Amino acid sequence: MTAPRRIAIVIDHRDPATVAEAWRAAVGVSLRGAAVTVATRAGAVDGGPEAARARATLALFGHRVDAAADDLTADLYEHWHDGRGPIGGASTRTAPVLHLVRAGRVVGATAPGDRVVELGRPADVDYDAILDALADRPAWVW
Amino acid sequence: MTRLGLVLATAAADDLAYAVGLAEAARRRHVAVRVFAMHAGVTSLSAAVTAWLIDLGCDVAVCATSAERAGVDVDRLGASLGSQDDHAALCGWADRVVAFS
Repeated sequence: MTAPRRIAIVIDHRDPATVAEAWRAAVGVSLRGAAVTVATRAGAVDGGPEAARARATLALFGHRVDAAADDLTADLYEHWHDGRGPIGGASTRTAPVLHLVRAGRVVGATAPGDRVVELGRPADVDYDAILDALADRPAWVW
Repeated sequence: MTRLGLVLATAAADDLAYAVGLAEAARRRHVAVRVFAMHAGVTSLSAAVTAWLIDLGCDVAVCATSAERAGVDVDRLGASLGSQDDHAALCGWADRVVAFS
């Protein structure tokens, strides 16, 4: 029996509708047995009643809904991020990730062994290099 | 890596372009690709982009709830009408997932 896939949903957004969608996605990705962890970064807005219901549902089924965003270790990351908020610092994450940083964005906390790739203009991206880098670590998109 | 999942949840043109670029590069390597669009991501897909992704050999599914909220006609897009279960399936299936959210 294999361990359940660990999925991290990191919410760092100022749009309530998007925050609600992030919580809906968190419930969604739990539907096939994954272990879901949700972290809401300080400064993110409340997602309203839909988010509250999703949070309660996840908690009811044993998923963690109050993790620290910068210290999550997971098999895959969905980062619901609007590009604002606290950045930088160090992470205690125990497995390296590939930070993909969109044009105009800034990477957040990094851990030893992480790689950071500035994506820049889409036409200029070396997508093969990104696929190579994904071979041994999950992506975290900023 | 043999299976790549792409989640598209924003309306940003750059995010769509990044996702398409990754899909193209992956398919050149014969990496299987699934795309799941939800939230604002359903509005960034066009019929032409969806057709291109499908021609490349990608599976493209769109969250029905998001499409309904945004007034997007999924049949016109040519994508599969999906649900959060497809999102979960993609996350379980893929070796790696890149989420533009």
